[in-house]
Parts: sequence; C-alpha cells; structure tokens
Amino acid sequence: MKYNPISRRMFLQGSLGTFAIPLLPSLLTPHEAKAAATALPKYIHVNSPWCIPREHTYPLYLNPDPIYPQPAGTNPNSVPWIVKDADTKYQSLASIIAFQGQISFVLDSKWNPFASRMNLVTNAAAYMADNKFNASISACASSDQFGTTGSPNGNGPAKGYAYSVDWLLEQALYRSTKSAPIPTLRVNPGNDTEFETFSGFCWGTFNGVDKRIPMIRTIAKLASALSAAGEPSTKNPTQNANRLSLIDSVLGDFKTLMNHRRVSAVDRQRLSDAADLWRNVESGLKNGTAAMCKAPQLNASETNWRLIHQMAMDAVAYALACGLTRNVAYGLIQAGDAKYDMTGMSDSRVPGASSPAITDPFFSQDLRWRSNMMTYFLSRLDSVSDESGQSLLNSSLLIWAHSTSKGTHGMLGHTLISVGGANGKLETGWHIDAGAAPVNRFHLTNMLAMGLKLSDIEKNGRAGYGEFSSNTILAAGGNATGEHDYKENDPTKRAYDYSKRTYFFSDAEKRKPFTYLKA
Amino acid sequence: MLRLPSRFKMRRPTLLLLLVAVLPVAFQNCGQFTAGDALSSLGSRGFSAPVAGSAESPSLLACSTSLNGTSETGFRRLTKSELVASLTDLFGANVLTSAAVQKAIAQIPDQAAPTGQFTTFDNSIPDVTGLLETSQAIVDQVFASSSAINSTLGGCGADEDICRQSLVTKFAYRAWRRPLSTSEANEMIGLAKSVGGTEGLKIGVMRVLLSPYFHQHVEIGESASTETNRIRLTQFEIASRLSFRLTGTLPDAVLLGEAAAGRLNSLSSLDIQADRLLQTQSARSLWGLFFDRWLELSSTVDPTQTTANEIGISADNLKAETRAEFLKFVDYIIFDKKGSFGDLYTDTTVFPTTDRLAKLFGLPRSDMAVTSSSGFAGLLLRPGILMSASTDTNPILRGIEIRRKFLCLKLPAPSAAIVNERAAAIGKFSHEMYSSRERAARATSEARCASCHQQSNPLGFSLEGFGPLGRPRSEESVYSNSGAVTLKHALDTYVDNLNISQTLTPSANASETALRVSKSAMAKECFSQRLAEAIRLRPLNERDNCATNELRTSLQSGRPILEVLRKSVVTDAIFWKSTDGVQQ
Repeated sequence: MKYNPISRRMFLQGSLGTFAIPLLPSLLTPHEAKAAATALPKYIHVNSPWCIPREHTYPLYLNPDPIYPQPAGTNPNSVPWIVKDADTKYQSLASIIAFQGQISFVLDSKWNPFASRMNLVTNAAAYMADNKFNASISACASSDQFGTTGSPNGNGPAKGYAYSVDWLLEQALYRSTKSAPIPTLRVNPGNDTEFETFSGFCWGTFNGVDKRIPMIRTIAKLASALSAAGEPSTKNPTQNANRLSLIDSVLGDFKTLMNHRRVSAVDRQRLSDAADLWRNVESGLKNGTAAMCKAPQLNASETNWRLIHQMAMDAVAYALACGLTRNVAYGLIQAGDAKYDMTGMSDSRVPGASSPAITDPFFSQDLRWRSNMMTYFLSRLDSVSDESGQSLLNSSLLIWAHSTSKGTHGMLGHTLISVGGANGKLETGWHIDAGAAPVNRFHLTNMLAMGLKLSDIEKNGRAGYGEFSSNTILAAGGNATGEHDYKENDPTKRAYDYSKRTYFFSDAEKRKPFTYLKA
Repeated sequence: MLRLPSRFKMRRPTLLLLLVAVLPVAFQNCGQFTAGDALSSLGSRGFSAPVAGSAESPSLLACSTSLNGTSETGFRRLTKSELVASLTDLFGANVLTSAAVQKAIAQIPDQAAPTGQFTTFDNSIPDVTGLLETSQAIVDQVFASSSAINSTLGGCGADEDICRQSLVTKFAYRAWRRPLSTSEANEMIGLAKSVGGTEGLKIGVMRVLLSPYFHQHVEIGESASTETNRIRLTQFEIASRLSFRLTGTLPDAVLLGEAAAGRLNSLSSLDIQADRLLQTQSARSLWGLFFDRWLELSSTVDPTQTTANEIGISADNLKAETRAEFLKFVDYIIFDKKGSFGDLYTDTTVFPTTDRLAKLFGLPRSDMAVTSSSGFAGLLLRPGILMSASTDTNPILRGIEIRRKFLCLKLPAPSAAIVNERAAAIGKFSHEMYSSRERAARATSEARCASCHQQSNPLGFSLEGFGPLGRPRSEESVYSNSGAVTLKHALDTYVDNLNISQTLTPSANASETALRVSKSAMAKECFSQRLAEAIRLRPLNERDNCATNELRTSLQSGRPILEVLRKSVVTDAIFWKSTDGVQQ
C-alpha cells in the first residue's frame, strides 16, 4: 500500500497559512558550514506519558496482544535478522512491511512512507534508580520518585541527572554559533498550570541547581512566542543587492587575511570556516526566499486536542523551516480529541496480566490517536523544505519516546522511535532489537548524530549519558521482578536479561552508540 | 498519568537536605588517608591556635626565556562583552541599549564560559547572521538622527564625500584599531559611493563592523621583526592587546596616538598607558566581570524565607543584591582603596546600600563604604559567597566549593555506589541530635570517604560561624517544617588543619580561616592562574611560565592588586606572537 502524503504545494496553500522555505542559513556551526550544500540537522523530541507496549510495537510479535491480523505462521524470525554486534540485531523495516503490510500494531500502515527513514528500537532497558515515577526516562534517562525539587514537582530525574536531551542540545548547538530566536521551542499543549500530570520532560541544571524548564502550554502562548521571535526578515530587492555588495566586500577581507603568510594555519582554517558562513548568507539572499516564510495562523480558542496539536505541529514545522529554532521539545500527552490523558487506564491492561479485547479503548483509540498525531507531524515535516531544498524531515531527527515500557511503570522492554536521521547521520530503515541495552544508548546515539561530542554530554564526571543505577535500588523498585514474569512471551528469548546489567555499566559501554550511527 | 501516591508527597526536607549533603561525599583517590578518625576534625573546643605565621611564597615555574613571547599562536575573536563594549564605544550607550539593537545582539552567543573557568572559550568565528542583524540594527538606529551620524562619523555634516572620508579615517580607524591601507580605504569609499547617499554610509559602517578586522583580534606582526620562533607585533596591535586586556574594549584616542607615534616600544611606556587605562570605568567593568565569573557569582542563591525571617526581610531575589554588594567590594578594594591580595580576603568593608543588605549586615543603610565589626570580611566571608538555599549550612559543600574556587583544588567525583549507600545510612544523623558539623563529620567518617573529605571538610567546618543567611551567628538553629526554631546547637568552628598548605594550618574560626587563606601560597597561585587564564582565554602552558612567575612574585610582594593587574598584562610577551603555523 502506498501512502500519498500531502504535496508540498497543497501544504503551502493550506488553511493554516503559507509555509516557508527557510530563509536564514542561520544556526550554522563552523563545522557544519563546511557542508553548506546540505542543511543543518534539527532535533525534535516528542515525549508521551505511559507507553506503547512492546507487544504493540515489536514487529512480527509471536503472540501479539491484542491479536491483530498477521500472516499465518508469523514469528519474530519471519524476516531475517542481521546481527550487528554482541548486543543488537537488525531487521529491515521494508521487509517487515512486505511481509505483513505494516510495521506493527501501533505502527500501522500510516507509518509505511517513513519506514526507510526511521529506526524502531525495541527491547531497550531503563536501569534507573526508581521505577515508580519515571516520566523523565524518555528525556533525561533518569528517574526519581521526588523529582529534583521534591514533591510536588515530581516525576523528574534523579538528582544530578537533570540533563534532558533537548537541554544538552541547546547548550551545545548554539555554542559556536548564534542562538536562534528560539533556542529551543518547548511545546506541551495542555492545561496551563505549574504542575501538570506530565512534568518530566524538560529539565536542566542551572548553576548546579536542577530545574524544570517551562514549556509552552497553550496555543495563545505559542503564537505569542513565534510572534516575539519575529518572522524572518523580508528584505526588499534593493536592500538585498546592497547586502550582496557588502558581503562581497567583507569576503575580500577574509581572502586577504587567509592569503597572508604571517597568518597561522589554524587561523586560516577559522577564517575559511567563517567565509563559508558568509557565502551561505549570500546564497540565501540570492535565492530571495525570505518572503516565503510566513507564520501559520493559530486559533487560540480551539478546544479539540487533535486540532490543537495539528496547529502546534504546524507551528513547529514553520519554526524549524524558517530558522526560528533547530531544537524542539514536544509533549504529546492527550489521548483523544476530547481526552486529556489516559487517566482511567488500568494497570492490569498489561499484556499477560489479562487479555483485553482489541476493542478496548486503550488499544483501539488512545494509542492509535497518538500514532495518528505522530504520522500527521511527520507528514508536515516532510511537506516543507529545509534550507537546502530537501524535505525538512530528512534533515531532522525526530524522536518519539515514552516514560515507561508498559502500564505498570515497566522499565524493561522500552520502544523508542527515531525518524529522519539528522541529515544522513544515521543508517535508517531498521528494526533494532537492542538486546536490553540501556535507553541511555538511544539518547547518546541521537546526540552524537546531532553533532555533540561526549564532552557536551557527560556531566559530573560520569561516563555516557544519564543514570545507570545499581542493582540494589532497581531491584527494590518494585516492578523489576514482575518483568520477568513475561519473559515467556518474549519473542526473542533474549530481552529482559538482567545478567547484562553490569556489562552495560562499564564506561566503554556507556559511551557506545548504536551501530546505526554512521562513523 | 503518573501520579505520586500521597505517601511520597510528604515534605521531608531533613532527609532531602542530608541527601544533598552526602552526594559529593564519597570521593575516591584523594591520596593518602592520614591517620586518625575523620571525626577528629570535630575539633577541640576552646582551643585557638595563634594566627601568626609568615605568608607562604607561591612556587615559581620553570621559565625559559627562549619561549617568552611565543605563547600567543593565533587570533582570538572578541568575546561578547568585548564586542558590546566596543560597539558602545563606537556608537554610544543610547544606541546600544535600544530595544532593536538589544534584540539583535541577543542572537550573538556568549562563547566565554559563563562561570568558573576561562579556558573553555570557543574561538570559532562567531555566527555571521547575528553580526549582520546587529550591524543592521545599529545603523538603522544611528542613521535615524543626524546628530548620531555626526557623532559616529566624526562631525562630517551633510557632505557625503566628507562623511565617506570620515568613515575611513575616523570610524574605521577606531574600529579596526589601525589606519586603513590605501586599497582598503578606496574599496570602502567605493562601496559607500556605489550605493550612494545615507544608505551608502550605512553600508559603509556595516562593512567596518562585519570585517574580521573588527570582530577578531587580528595580529599579523611586523615582517621585519620575525625571529626564530616569534614575530613582533605592530604598534597598533600592541595597543589593541593592551587595551582589551586591561579594559575589555577598543584602544582610546590617546593610545592609538601613542601607537601612531611609535612610542609603545618599551615596558615603561606601556606601564604609563596601563596605569592610565586602569583608571577608566571600562577597566572597573572588566575586572568586576572577572571576579563575577571566577567566583561564579551567577550561582548565588536566595536564602529560604524561613532564615530570612530571622531578620525580617524578604528572601526574594536577595541574591541579586548580595551579588552586587560583592562586586562593589571588589571594585572598592582594587580601584579605590588600591588594596592588596591580603585586603581582598580580610578587609571588613561592606556596602549596605539597600534596606535588606543593611539588615543583613546589621548596619544602617548607606550608599557609602562602611566598616563592619561583626565578622564580615573579604571575598570569603560575605553573603554573596556563603548564603545557602536551605535552613541549614552545608559545611561539606562549602569546603569543597571554597577549595575549588579559591584554591583551584578539585576533588575527584564521588562513586555513585558509595553515595547511594551513604544516603541510605544517613537517616540516623538527625538534626535534632547533631549539629550540621557533626552530621557532616559522621556522614563522611568512613575511611573511604574521609580520605577526601578531610581535605575539604575542615574549611567548611571553620565557617560554621556563618549561618545559611551568610551572616555571622553564635549558635545553630534547627527549624521545624513550619519555620519555628525548635532547638539550637552550640557552634564548634575549630579545626586542626585547614589542609591549605604543606604544614599544619589550624583555625579557630572563620576570620582566621580567611586570614590563613589570604596568606597561603595555594590561594595566590590560584588567583594568578585564573587571572592569567582570563586574560588569555585559554589554558596556560609552559610558554606562559615566565609571565605567570611575574604574577606570582607580584602577588607575594603584597603590592596593590591594581599593580598586579598591570603586571599581568604588561610583560615582555605583550610585544610578540608565535610563529607556530606561519609560513616562514
């Protein structure tokens, strides 16, 4: 089945306003400028509370629960595996789709157009200090019952680990270049209260103090933030021509210095990097694309969560495409057009504990609703161009992560999804069975793909990213034992392998990305 | 959704604070664990060691004169504060503080490390669009008023030709810190002329600002003065180094005049200019910024309202006032009192310039410098350093932070396993039973913890005479959850050894500790290192040893800090750059 995404032209002409080809080759780091012909990578981290259970996301699940149509005889090995290293093995998503028409129950056929540009990581484990209140696992790879500031701002990372991915990216991406008008666009549509049910997303450490970073909760505030950031300037032709002359003239200075024999090789390289940046600006002016960036119209009185998210997602795409930001944290916490969250979902709805019908709202509505929102988001990102003219999605790295691996605050068997590949930094098109590798590795891989160095990521003298808790604390946490009960339902008989914990806790392992990160 | 069960919603400040305290506890590899139980650092009450003792001399590094002048190997971009100061000099504060300009400048990142260290400066050339937008915003602002045009371009009036000449001979001369070559001047005038009118002048001004000759410290050197491993800078480049290093901004007209006359050839001639520059407001701003970053004043925290209630003030944003007070003190000691390194640690001047600060210092409000007799002193014994966001002091963290900031001594990171274990065991050290010092001592008493903590704890213990508000106290209060004082502990501030020198360094109290620190070689070496790093914005290396030695010697001599600052810049190395990577 071929999915037909909205054409770019249709999207540009959509009711929500005209989108833009990005104007500014802004946000360039000197290193990135070397590849000026390609676009800068952008990061979008979508967090959802609760989970998408492994049984709903693992392709070719042996005993899917709920039962959904699969070809007869389906088993986890119906599509061949490629063993990449001691921990992980890969399956082609294209082959999986060819076999059963879609990736999995939750990742239905709407995801098929993105399969070649995405990775589905399953069987990752969160080796965290506490597994009761772990909403921050998906963003900080850390969990704590009190949160860093104690109750009532709970659900935050353990003390010392308040370095959410979006925050680290913000610190690193703009260090050697100008900050975007919105360094990080943090949007979490929902009730605009200080403490919401989902509060674990954005944490940073400011002057040694862990702190939750505010997110934009309403469409009105989102509109205000975009307005304050300002639409990319739309210079008139004369002004553009003058600027082109100006830049030519400035480039002359760079050339003179670069050719000077008493200028060191290091300085010549720096000057060359900067000259590249100027040429990029020049290119943008010549293309005259500035006038095309126009913010989408946002209806602040909308109450339908689907429409609210669609507006917010449109706004995110606009902000990324038009150079207002290159880093986004996004909360997708609702579960229906009029359903604020998954409140009421019984913890017993854990596969194996009971066998709820496929008509159960959790499966038939809530997860599907969120999945559909995600494919809407991906379509939007794919419908606009980045500064190089390619699909914005291609130069982006979109993450969809969840706070737990299943309804009972599970820590093992996490499903993690990345789409886009950060402008070719990741090999994509794979289902990766992580073999109980830490969720930390997923975040580490993504940050490295975004161009961060280990020194940008590692904090407080600790190797790798996030928390790696001791056996004692995890075992005391509650659900660890329970996880083992479902091992027999494990399609590969290799997940939930506690014995590998100490192995993953070595510094070398903590610093190891998944092998789908290109060298 | 995830919700906390009610049992976890209880406020348990005592336990949390103890957890905070113990987190940095479990260090490893701190060297030899000396004999004795760490609990011995609880001290012997009532004994006070004599304060007398000669100051220790900082050690001197191996100085090879053949390496002198070879430590600067490349250009450095202007820091953001240098950029802003330079633009302010060129266009005036009114232009720079306009909303449009501020918004544009905000797009340019501050690549200097915000706190603590000066060696992580990112020297990549700044983003260009930020500069482009900033220069555009500035010219839009300037050229909205004829008087602003005239002041920027040197009173050129309405004659465009004269204005274009002024653009080159006055404006660009100042901004690029040197005269333009004939070809540069012709090119710039040609550009402005080709666009024409006011728009041409605008483009001309932007042309100057966007050039690397403005936003980089371009140092080419004199072709005739190349030696084996170093190249002598031009007079204008020397002027620029001197000015930026001492004042953080462009050379002024006098200094440029000296460079044009070729009079910046000797250390004595530079000394004269340096002394003059150090009298400027720009110098005060720059060195205030140095202290602010070195001691990480941006990390200053507000106290709890519970402790603030003790003196009937609001805790809200008190940190801003204590930070400002700290900087006033530094400014006063260096520039007004012309004090020494010792004064930086022991002078008892305070600035109770607000109602809250007056209550904090226990003095009448005053806009003037006031001498305190209650124990406040120097850099160390001030609210801006000692105030904590808790109802308790945290002697462990105080000790660690003072060692790190003032003595440049870092302890290794704690082991998570030990931290967890200690956190589990710590509940028994109730604040009702034990003072903060006793709790800290007991929490760190095991040998595996003590090997490091005995290095740092004594410093913190000796400061227990200052409470969480950062003001002197005579006993330690324990608060209930409602903020009421439930009991009080007696204070014990004596320590056998502060561990800040090769010899035993006991201290009876905070004042003595401040004095001991001021006399220690470690503190002087730390200060000289941070100073040298701040000037260079890079890690020091062996090529800097000679200059570092001069700094250390100068500090040891007890000369005014102002002289030390001059000495930190005016050395023989200021005349040279390295030939590394240069095509000979």
